Amino acid sequence: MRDESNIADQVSAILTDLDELKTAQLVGHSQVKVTEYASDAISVTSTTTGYTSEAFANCTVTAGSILPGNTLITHCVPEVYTSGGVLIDNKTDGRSVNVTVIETDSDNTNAFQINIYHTSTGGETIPAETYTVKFHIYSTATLTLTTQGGVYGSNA
Amino acid sequence: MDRTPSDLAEIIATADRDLNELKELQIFGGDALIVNEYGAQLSNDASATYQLTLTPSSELGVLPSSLMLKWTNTQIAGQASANYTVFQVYRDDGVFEWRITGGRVNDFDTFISLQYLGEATVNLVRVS
Repeated sequence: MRDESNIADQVSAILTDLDELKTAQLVGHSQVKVTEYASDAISVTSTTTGYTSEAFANCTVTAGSILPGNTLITHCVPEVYTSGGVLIDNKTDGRSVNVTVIETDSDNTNAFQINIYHTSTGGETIPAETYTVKFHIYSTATLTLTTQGGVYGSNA
Repeated sequence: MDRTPSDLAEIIATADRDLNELKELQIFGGDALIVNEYGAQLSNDASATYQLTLTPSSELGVLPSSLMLKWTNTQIAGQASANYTVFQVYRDDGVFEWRITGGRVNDFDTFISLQYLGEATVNLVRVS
């Protein structure tokens, strides 16, 4: 049978552990630990209809560990280059190539699609083009990325 | 030194307080996250372009959770319209950037709302 002194020692040890745990907490009231995950670069070749061309790439995001009832929060930033190596950054008004991101969520899995839409500005024909696409996914969870390129009208 | 029941009660009370502090720290173990929000009103100039940046305050980073444009229309019901475009801009320096173009067309006051997790500095600059 333990006497009171032993119990006090054990509780004191627990107290020490609690202090260490508090010190180790990266996550506080207003702070989180965010990690960026970058996919491999993949190539997608657009289909053209003359005055427009379109291409897309998909990325499925799977969390390594997430508690039941929690929602995986992620943010996707697209990185897209033309075949000439020019970054499409959407900074310039009136540019003819637009990159947009669509997100769909399903429980612990997020799926993103990067869409590349090239439109004619002066009546010129838009040729098919091969783009280089990377997904940058930000999250507090440990993630695995699976990417796939594609073109509209096929599963290539 | 012998500990009295009073000493034990004090130690247990301290442990209980520490446990409650730990529970407070576990924002992902609770039912809600603490989300920061930045809000600002945009100009009613239809030709305006804005640069919105979200810069993390530390190496822990920051996570955007939503970016919304909100409108109020109290003048002409059913006749107001607005046309804005929001683009995310790729950057490799850890800063999140969006470009917001377009503007108010009829009787709207436009507000932007950026929600994010973590500590960061938000800047909204009209660039054109």
